[in-house]
Amino acid sequence: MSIKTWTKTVREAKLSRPVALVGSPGFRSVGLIAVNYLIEKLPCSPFLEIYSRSFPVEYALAPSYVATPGLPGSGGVALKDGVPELPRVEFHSWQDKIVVVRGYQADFEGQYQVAEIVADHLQQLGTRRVVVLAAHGKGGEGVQCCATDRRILKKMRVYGVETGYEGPFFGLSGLILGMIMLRGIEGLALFGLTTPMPEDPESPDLASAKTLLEKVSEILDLPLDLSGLEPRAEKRRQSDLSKLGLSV
Amino acid sequence: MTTVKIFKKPELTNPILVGGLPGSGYVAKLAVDHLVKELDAKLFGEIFSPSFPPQVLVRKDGTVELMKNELYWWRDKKSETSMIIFTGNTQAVSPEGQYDIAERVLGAAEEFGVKRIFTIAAFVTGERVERPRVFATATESELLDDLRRYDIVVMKEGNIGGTNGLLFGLAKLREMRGICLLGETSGYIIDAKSAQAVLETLTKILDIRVGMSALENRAKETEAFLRRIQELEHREEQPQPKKGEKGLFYIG
Repeated sequence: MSIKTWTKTVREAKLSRPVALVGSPGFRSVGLIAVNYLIEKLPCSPFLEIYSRSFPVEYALAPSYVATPGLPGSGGVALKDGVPELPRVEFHSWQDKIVVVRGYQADFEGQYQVAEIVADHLQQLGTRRVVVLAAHGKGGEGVQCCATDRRILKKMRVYGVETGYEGPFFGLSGLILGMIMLRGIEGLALFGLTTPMPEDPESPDLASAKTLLEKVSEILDLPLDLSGLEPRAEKRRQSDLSKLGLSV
Repeated sequence: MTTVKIFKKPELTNPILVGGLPGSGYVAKLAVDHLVKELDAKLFGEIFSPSFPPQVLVRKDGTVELMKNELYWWRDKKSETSMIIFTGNTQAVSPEGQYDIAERVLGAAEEFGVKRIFTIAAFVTGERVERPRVFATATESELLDDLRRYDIVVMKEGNIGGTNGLLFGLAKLREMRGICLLGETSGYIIDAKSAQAVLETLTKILDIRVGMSALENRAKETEAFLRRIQELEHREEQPQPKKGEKGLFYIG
C-alpha cells in the first residue's frame, strides 16, 4: 500500500522542552490568522512539513473543518507567486522554546491520521504544553478556554481567561488537543470570541485574532508587536458589520 | 486504525452484552448510561476510531474529551448475572467504521464468553406519544416467542441503522443469541420516557432491579419544556394588539 501521509524534514530544530502553538483553517479563520502572524512576526522558521493524500485543495463542502465521509474534495496544488505549493501542515520554531504548527484540514479519511502524526512529532520534540488557537461563536468578546485538565483551567483564571464553551470542537486543531492528551502532554485551547457568518464560516475575523494574540503574548510572555493587525482588523470589522446589516 | 484499550480484564462468568450508542432521541444512550450509573458498573475499556467524527468534545467544566466508545462491567453479588455494557459519546460515521466497531466489540465480548446480547435502539415514528411502546426483535423465532410474555410489540419489518443495529446483526453471524429492544420515539427530542420504557423491559427480562427516578425526572423536565414551547406557540397564534392599540396586559 502506498504511503498516505508523509513527513519532510526541512532542517534540524534545536528545541528545549518547547511550548507548541497550533492553529488551523477554521471558524472565522481566527486560529489560522494567529499562527500566520506568529510565524511572520516572531519570526519563526520552518523545520518540518507533513504532506497527505487526504489534503484537498478544494473541499467538497464548506467549511473545511467539518469533514464528511465519502466527500473527499479534490486534490491539487495552490499557486503562490506563480509557484505550485502542495497543501501541508508546517512546523516552525522560534528560538529553542516555541514551536508553531500551521495546520491543514484533511478529508474525513485523513483527519485522525494527520492529528496522530502531528501529536507524535510534538511528543518526539519534547513538547511540554500545546496551546491551540481557535475561535467560537457563542457570543461575547474576549478570550475563553478549555483544557486537558482542570489544573490548567485554574491557572488561566489568573490571566482572566475563563471557560464558557460547551460542545464539539471540530477539525484538526481539536483532534490534536485530543491526541496529545492521549500521549500525556498538557493541552490548552484559547478561543477568540467571534460572530458566526453562516454564509462564509471561515470569513476572517482579524479583531478576534488580535485579541487572542494579545492574550497569548501575555500568557507566554512573547515579544509580539500586534500593531500590524490593527488597521486591517478595523477595516475587516466594518466590512463584517455591514455584511450583517448592522450600521458601521 | 481502530484501537481497543482494555485497562484491566475483569473476571466474568458467562456475561451478557448490553449495548447502546447515541442515536435517534438518544434513547439507547440514555438507557445504557442510566444502567451504568444505577448498577455502578466499572469502566474497563475504551475504543478509539478514525471513523468517529473528527472532533473533540468540550465538557461543561471546560475539560476536553475525545470521541470514544466504552466498555463497562458489572457483576451481581448475589446471583450469577454478570454484564458487559457497551456505550460511548458517539457512533462511527461511515458504514465501514460501524462494521469495524461492531466486529471489534463482539470479538472482545467473545473472549469473555458472551453468548447472549441485548442491543437498544430507537423506533422513530415522528409522533409524540404519552406512553412509548417497546418494540422487539430477536435473532431466533423462539426468542421472539419468549419475548411475547413482556409488554412488547414484535418489530417484523424495517431497518435498525448504525452500530446499534449492526451489533445485533453481526451477533447472529457469530451464532450469539441476540435481542434488540427499541423504544418508540418521535425522534425530535431527547426522549427519557422512551429510554425508561425500554429499560424497564430489559430489566424485567434480565430479572434485575434498577431505580428509575433519575430517568423519570429527566422525562418530567422534557415534558415541562415541551409544555412551555406549546404555550409559547399557542400565544403566538393568538391575535396580537395592533401598534398603538391597548392590549390586555396586566402587571401585578
